[in-house]
Amino acid sequence: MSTAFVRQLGSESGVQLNPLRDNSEIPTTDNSDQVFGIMMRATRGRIDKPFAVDRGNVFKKLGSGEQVRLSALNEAWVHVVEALNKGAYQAIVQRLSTSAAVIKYAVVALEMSTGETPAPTGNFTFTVSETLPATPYLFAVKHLECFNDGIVLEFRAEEVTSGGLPADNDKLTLRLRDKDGNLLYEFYGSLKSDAKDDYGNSAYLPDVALAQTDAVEITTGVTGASAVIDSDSVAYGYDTNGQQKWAKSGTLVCFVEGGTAYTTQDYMAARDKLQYTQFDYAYISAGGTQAPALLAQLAQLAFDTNRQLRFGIPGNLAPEAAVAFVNQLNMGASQTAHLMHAFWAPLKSDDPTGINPHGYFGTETLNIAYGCGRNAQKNAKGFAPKNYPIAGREWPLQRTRIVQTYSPTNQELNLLARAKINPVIYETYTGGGRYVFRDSLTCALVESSLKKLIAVADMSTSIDESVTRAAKDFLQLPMDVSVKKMRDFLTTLFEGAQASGWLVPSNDPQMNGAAWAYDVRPNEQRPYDAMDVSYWLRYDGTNRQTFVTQTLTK
Amino acid sequence: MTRTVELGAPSLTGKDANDLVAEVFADAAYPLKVVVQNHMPQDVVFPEVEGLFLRHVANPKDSRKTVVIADHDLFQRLASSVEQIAELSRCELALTISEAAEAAADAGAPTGDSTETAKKPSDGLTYDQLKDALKAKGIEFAANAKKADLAALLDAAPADAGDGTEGAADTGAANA
Repeated sequence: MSTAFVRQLGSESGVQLNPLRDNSEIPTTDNSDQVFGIMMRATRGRIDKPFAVDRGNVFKKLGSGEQVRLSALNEAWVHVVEALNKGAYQAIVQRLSTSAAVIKYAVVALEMSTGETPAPTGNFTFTVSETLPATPYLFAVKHLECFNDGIVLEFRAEEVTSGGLPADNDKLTLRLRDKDGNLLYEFYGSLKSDAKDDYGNSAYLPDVALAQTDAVEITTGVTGASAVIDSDSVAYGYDTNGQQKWAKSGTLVCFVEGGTAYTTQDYMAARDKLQYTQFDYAYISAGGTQAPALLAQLAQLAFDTNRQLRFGIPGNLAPEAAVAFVNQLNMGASQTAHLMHAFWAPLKSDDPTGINPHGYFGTETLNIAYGCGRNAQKNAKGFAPKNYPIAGREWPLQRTRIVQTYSPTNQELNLLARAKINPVIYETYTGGGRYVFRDSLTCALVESSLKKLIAVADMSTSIDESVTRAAKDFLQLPMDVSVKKMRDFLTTLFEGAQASGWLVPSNDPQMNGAAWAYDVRPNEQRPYDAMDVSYWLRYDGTNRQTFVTQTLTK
Repeated sequence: MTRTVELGAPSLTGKDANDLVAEVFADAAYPLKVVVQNHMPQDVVFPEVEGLFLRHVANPKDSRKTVVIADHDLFQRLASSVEQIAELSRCELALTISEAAEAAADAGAPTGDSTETAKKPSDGLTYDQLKDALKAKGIEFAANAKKADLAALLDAAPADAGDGTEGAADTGAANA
């Protein structure tokens, strides 16, 4: 094939084709606004960094859950499973752990006879060890997904022949399963460190595992001629019925949770990990926590990440105690109090996951799930109907056998509203009653301001996220280009927001009847390397109160 | 010997609440019955421990409560939460947690335990003593009032400061 061009033309005659220049890119949004983050106790899941779970792998990654009667901390699992089934696309989980948690090795070694001259019996031993053993072992597996209920190892080597006879094989297939036999990982590699595959890549078992996942670390404990599966072993070749022979362990509990005595430092460590993760999320759920210490850290996370925190007040608290619960955290004093949303659900219901008896289950994560489902319905301009808060008639609780255990009086409802707590209780509407999120207030201590509305918090955080993401894309460009790109972007964004009903004309004299305004220019003091972006938006509000008067006329 | 721990903001006390609890209650047996006293000027609630809703320190009756802590881990999580609230409120002394036995030995001390029988101010008083007590408090009563009416008036009168010997504590539970 002859090309008509070259990429770099010298002094010779010819045609230079430059790389395709792409000016067609339009900033788009991803689906991170359908994802929430959570810090929780779980029986499975890595403890060193956050991980994503979805409705397809939640049981595999977080385990089958434990009952709340064993520990109130187990409610978080119910929240996550319910949310993933009711609209959330993913959950980004940081598992809580203490300094007492230990991840141990599953060590596989040759079984030796007990005679005067020990010799391999052909069987293997499977042990759990905190450190790698000093004595020779075949290989050791460190499973970083930390299953409280243990893992199962199985491995085998394919039959190879040398001179017509079965020969030892350094390559093996290793499988990790959970205690119920579900396959977690399968690796095919060699015990020899210099092994290569057909493409010249390393076929060394630890390298193969590393290439496939960062959740499993394999170490080999043999070298040279010992780094093989013996042809006489129970993990080699086929049995007399032609079935593959596998060496299989029992359940190896390689993770010691070390209790749940979480200190403030443990909560802070989890918060840091959730803040600096590569996963993106738009909401933070408290996951039914009753710990003010954890809530305080989540509030800090909300501030640091500009994400909305939704938390529940235990449903067994009376209104006065519920108010004390919120007040003691002093969330209203935060600069980002509008990002914190409190729900109080004095409701008992069936466990949506079915593992617990009838009881109290928080509704904050369900509220987030509904929000995630709503956010998936973007219009032609890429805007989801975030001007519709998850509250009121259209968003009933999808649970069974709900029983309201406390019916607040009007005065108590007033008390809750003043404390910025959204009750989740029974309300009657056209078409029948239902259990609903009765209000949509943020924790901002304001009386008549858009900052008090969850819908506005939802929209404003979305706008902030889009603008800052675009601003980051426009970094390291010439100043003029950056300013122009930013202006074009903001014009498109705000026109779309207004067309989608997020913004309405402002009454502020300075806005001249516009719904939005922006100012993008190089910084006055530092015009060479800094750009200022400011924008003013008038969001649409939410009707929380309706005053009706009928007048009789003659 | 009963054990007591005082918890406050670590930045002011220089002591970590978890370490204090671990040290003082190292060999405690669970479930552990403890008396919790709020020293902060605000109501606090720690739902991790059932019924632990304490009024502010100026409410002598309901700022103190007897609760049961199920296990060591829960006690540590409670300490973390107390520490956090104390830090937010900038309180050097937020809560005192003592073994319930100590409170029992403390004669006349209010425990706030809802299972205890409340002692009324009118208990053991004669007709004339009731009249004198009402006069002392400046409470008016009918000259021909019956003893039961006088006792009811006296019992309904606000207690003097520091008199925290009456009333069952609010458990903080909903009226299920």
